[in-house]
Amino acid sequence: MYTGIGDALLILLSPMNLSWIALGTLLGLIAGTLPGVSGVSMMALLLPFTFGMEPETSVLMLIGIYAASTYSSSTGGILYNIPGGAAGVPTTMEGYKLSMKGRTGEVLSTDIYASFIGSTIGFVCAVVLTPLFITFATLFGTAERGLFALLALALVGTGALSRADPLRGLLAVGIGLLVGTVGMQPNTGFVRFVEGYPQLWDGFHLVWIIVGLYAIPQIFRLATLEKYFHAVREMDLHYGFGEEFRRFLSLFRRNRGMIIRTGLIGSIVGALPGLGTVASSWLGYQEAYRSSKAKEEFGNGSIEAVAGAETANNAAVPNTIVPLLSLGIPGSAASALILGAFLLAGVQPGPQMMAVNPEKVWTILLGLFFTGVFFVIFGLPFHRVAIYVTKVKPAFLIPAIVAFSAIGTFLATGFEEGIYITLGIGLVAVLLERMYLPVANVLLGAILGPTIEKELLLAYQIGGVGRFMQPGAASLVLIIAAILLWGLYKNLLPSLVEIWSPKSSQRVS
Amino acid sequence: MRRITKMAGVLLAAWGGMSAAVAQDTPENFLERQLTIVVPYGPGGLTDARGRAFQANMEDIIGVPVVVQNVSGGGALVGINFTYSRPSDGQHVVIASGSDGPHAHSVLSPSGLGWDWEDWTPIGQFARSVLGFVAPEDSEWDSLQEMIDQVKEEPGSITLASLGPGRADDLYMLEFMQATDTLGKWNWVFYSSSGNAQADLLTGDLDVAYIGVSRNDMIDHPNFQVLAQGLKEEEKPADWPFPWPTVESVVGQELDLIGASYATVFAKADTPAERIEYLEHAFEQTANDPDFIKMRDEFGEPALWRDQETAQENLDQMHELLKEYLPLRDEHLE
Repeated sequence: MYTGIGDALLILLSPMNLSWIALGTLLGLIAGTLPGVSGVSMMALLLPFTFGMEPETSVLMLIGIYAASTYSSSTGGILYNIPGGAAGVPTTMEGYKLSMKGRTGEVLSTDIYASFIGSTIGFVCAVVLTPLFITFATLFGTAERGLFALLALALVGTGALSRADPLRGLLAVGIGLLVGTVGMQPNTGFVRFVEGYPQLWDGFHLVWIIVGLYAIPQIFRLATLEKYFHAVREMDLHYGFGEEFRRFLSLFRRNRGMIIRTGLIGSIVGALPGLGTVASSWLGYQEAYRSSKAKEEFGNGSIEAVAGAETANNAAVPNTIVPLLSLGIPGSAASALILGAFLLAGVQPGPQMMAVNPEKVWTILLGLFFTGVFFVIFGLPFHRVAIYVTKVKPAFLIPAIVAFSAIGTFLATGFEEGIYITLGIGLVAVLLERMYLPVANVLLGAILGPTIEKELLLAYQIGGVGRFMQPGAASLVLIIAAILLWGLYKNLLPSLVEIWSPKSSQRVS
Repeated sequence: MRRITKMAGVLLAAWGGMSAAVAQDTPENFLERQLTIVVPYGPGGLTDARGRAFQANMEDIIGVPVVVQNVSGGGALVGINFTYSRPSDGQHVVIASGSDGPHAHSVLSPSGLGWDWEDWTPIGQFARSVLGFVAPEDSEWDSLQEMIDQVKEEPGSITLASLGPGRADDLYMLEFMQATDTLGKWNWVFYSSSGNAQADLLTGDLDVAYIGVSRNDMIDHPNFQVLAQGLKEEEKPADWPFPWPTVESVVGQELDLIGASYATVFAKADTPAERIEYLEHAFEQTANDPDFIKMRDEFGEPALWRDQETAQENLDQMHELLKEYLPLRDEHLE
């Protein structure tokens, strides 16, 4: 199992490879911070430059971009309320509110240190638990994947996300689920709503939804709430490395159990094909909410939420590569690109890779850990400068957001209609906000809905109702049923009791 | 001295004549800024890797940069539409496979298109992508024939996956089922990618999947076994590295659709003929370039080159066959 680790260290510590990881990390930081420019887009842009490189070098640069863009997908969210990717949404929800209270430095440092802890936990889990994860992944078939996504939706959608206003929260999740039904139903090939528009047959691209839901309303806010932002610009944004580190240490001491748990949750969810960093960040957020003593802060700016979500999604990163390395099966677009770089270099990932090229497996896993170190090294000075983004006048900030959003949206699919669709989604998001419907819930429904529908229908096609009676699936069904019943009991029963109580009847008469 | 001068004159004339002949054979390079290869899928997949192989090796031949533009959506249709929307000047070409090129979409698309198959022309074909029946290594059935017998005896007892729906693969499967008299007897489901189908072969949800097998890693794979490859016996090259039986040999009859599908470079048919000629020349030169061949070999998909005429014949035939089998698909889907 641990053969080749020494060779991998020698490969990694060569100045050339370290420089490429560092460059990849830096580019990933930039990609994740800009609205709409995903890590995958940045990897695709740089792929031509990897031709002719040593396979390890090109893959190291790509994983540097991948890991760093996951970490920094929340940076833009904290600074100007526009996450760089779906994994950064929970942190955006809480981080931006804290930022508006003048706590930008604290949120950014919590983000970076929690991310580092997460990537370390993820790395250790990938090293120690890979054989277990492989077994786990092979037990997770269609029914289990669909039910797990449904469980995540039930937990998060009825939990932390809808705490403040359950009715509006669930309504927004429902709107997200509806959004997820647009396009070709993957099990049957039936095109819903958009038969004449092949650009929409694959549904709304995630980048369009994120940019539409977050960037467009933010542009409106920046343009119309000048006084509000003026107050923020007057705040002192002092950022001291030592001071912020001590503040994080104190947070860690108070919440170490939660941080370690979210790291473990992220590692496990990351290893499941198809769920990855996005589901991890939501579940990390939910776990932070569940274990918090200050639940009222959630939705209004919770530093614990930032720590939980960031630990979880960064812990997922090394483990999303596990199915690729161990089985040769790419579980995400980013892994597919890494697979492509391997294949172009003549290296075949898969079960034989640990036997034939163990040093290559170790180079990648250790490379991911090194990326974690690099993003702390680059991220801290970057933050010191970046916090001043909150002081930039809307007249300058708005054109920059528009330009990067348009570029990111175009890069996502390669056709310009995507920009107009994003604009349409954005205008709807402005209306949703006017009706106090939370856009994060819409996003949650739009991300998990298609997975739930596709996997559950596929499971039914494969084995009928009996497929859901198998032990793994049946356990998940029971857990989901228990959560829903508990939710009904907790929320509906008191109201019903009140309605039917004698006092209430007397009041009515 | 006079003799030497005369000989030199003859040689010079011969060289001049040869140069002129070569110059006549080599079409004029019309590319001034760049050549854009449209990949109708996102970065990271098989089609993307094919485009990138040209990007890495073609620039020295054509003297201008090669840009890979990923335009994804609609099972390659959006990228094809995008290429069609560009001027017919030969500066944009699109790469697709036998399952999702303009010859296939013009038959299979559920919505009206602004073009037809006649509006396209292949430049040439550069890779053979073979699909095959893949089962888990520990499958209870050791051959495709055993599976066929099983579903005949107990319909619905074997779950078969193919890539789709809406792709030519649907028709490949229907042809196979018709030939084996097993139409409606498989528990047939669709997957959007080979990777997802492979994952579910491991979880036990699938018994067999008809997915890409023309990669070296499928030989002696510890988790999977290839039961049959969709390749015509007569199209097997002498040095074909994949040892599995062909689907035709298992079924015991010739099949129209199941066979080698070729990765093809397409351009708009109304591109000036001399530009098409130059593009064919440039792609052929690249496909025969040792670095390109090495790269493709290492990728596990051996390089080849089939000229425009051969490609046109192959795709025209495919187009007609798809039209012929379409009613069967519509009937089955209903």
